[in-house]
Amino acid sequence: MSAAARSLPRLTPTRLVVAVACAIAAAFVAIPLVVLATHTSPGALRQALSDPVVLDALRVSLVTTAISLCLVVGVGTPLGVALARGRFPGRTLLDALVGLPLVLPPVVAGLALLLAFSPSGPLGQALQPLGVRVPLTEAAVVLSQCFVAGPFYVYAVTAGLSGVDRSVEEVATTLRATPWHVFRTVTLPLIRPAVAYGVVLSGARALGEFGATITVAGNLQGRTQTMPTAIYVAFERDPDGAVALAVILAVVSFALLLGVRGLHLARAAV
Amino acid sequence: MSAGCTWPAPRYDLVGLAARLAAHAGTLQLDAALTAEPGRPVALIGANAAGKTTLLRCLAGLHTPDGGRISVDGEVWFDSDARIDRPAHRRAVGVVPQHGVLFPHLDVEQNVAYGLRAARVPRAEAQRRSRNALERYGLVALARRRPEALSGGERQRVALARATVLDPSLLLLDEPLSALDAASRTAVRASLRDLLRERSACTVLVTHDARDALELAAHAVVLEAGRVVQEGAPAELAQRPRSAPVAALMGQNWLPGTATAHDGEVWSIDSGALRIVAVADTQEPPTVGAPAFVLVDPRDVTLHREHPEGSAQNVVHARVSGLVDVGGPLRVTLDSRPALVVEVTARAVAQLGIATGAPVWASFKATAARAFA
Repeated sequence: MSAAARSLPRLTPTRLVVAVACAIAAAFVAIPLVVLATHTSPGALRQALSDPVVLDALRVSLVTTAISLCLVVGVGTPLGVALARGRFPGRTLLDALVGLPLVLPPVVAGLALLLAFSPSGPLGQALQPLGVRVPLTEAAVVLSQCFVAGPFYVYAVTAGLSGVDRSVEEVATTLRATPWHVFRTVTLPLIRPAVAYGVVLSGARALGEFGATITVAGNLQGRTQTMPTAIYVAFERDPDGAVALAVILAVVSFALLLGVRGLHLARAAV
Repeated sequence: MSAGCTWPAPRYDLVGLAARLAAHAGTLQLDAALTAEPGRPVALIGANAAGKTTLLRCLAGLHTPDGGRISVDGEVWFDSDARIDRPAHRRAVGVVPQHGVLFPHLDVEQNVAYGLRAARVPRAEAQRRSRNALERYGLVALARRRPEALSGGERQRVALARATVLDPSLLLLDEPLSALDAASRTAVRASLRDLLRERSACTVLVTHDARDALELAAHAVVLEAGRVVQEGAPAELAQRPRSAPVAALMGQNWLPGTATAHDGEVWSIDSGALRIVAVADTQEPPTVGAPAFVLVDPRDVTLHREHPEGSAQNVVHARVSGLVDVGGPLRVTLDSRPALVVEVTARAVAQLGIATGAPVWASFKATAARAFA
């Protein structure tokens, strides 16, 4: 095969369909983002970044997303293992329950959380003796994010685990490795790509969470106002400022995505 | 054994492996007893789904038996009556699974050292021992390679080094040579034989290839549908198989038929479309008119391109139906009734132009055929 033939493959009907699909997908994602970027200016961005409201929203978004991710990973990992590997009554039911927030509109999720955690709700009443009040606090923001973002992580973990060859783990147990040691030194390294994928998906979902957050946590600057809720509020009185905020959020999200991917690649290379 | 001499009841010896197990896996019902002495490797032979791997997994602690007892060097690993079931990581076992199953995310040295780290062997000693293992298996140059960059034979050596680095009391090998091509199989089989000879602990290896059993094991146990059907020295099993499956597993031609006539020691046996002239077995000679079978070693059969003129009493004309290279001589199957297996060198195959479908003449002397009742 000549070099020219390799660089320009023959156009078959299959390749044509694939090429058109790729082009549509790329244009569909790229064009709105480029238009968004062209609707703002360096000046508007600089102005937005010096606005205490914007800085507060950015801080609340990043801090709550970080806390949510820690909770999601901490609870979601053992949950994912139980769902993928466990044999217990109600496993199928639990599996469906975990995925429920994926199909639930976020506003509905927010309403459900609000009723459950309101002072008259069952969870609100349970927390009252401890002096904990959830609605309209930072805790409500974290709760909303965990609720909607958690399933993405759990399902990524279960998908990763279903691809692990059990005989590799079995060999490890015959080499004096306790179950926990096997998980740490064999299973976890093997599902690392899936875990990284889950972190990216659920992190992005948490960072962009809007519907549930505004319902349970409200929109208090410096406390519960996140970037998405700030954009929503800004859009009503200052559309140009909203665009600047949107660009900032898009850039932060993209940076996080690249960061996690870079971290994953660096680890894989070790 | 003289009359009146009573032996003590079989005891679970202080040295070696003693196991009696009942287990099930899928439709298989396993019910078998197995013993192994240090330094005398035991081969578990059987067809697919005979229960070999299930038995091995029970010994390793990867499959829970329904009942029975396993003891190794006096330590009880499993006892259903005493409710003892040591988890795999607390058994001094080394397993070489089929296809090696290396840790894909670790390099060769990390694979070999895995058990040392899991067992919390002090760092300096662990380093020394893993270095020794790498040297012993010729893996030093490959220490930094990842499993995906290794050949089948290299993978198998890493799996062996990894399984033996902790000096297990019981080494279990599941089809250690099946994943290899014919050329590397012969080489790995030879090095495995040397290794097993110098090991002073117990070894159980699963195989469906008689040659592995003959070369690697001191004792062979034949499993069929979860039960032990025959056991003994591998050469003895090849010489005196008790059933057609055992003969087939040991690579022997087992030709069932009827004894029709005899002239002294020389018998005529009608087997399928063949009339075989064979010499009677001294211990179990056939009787006229009764069912009998003839045993022929595939190495004693000669192949010809044309009808042979010679002293061989048995001459068969057939087509080649199969040609298998398992390392060493090639096994040629003929479509005669009953089918005959012949072992010939690759050189002979080339010279005779043997290929599937080719017509050939096969011959063997009456003295190479033994007639049993």
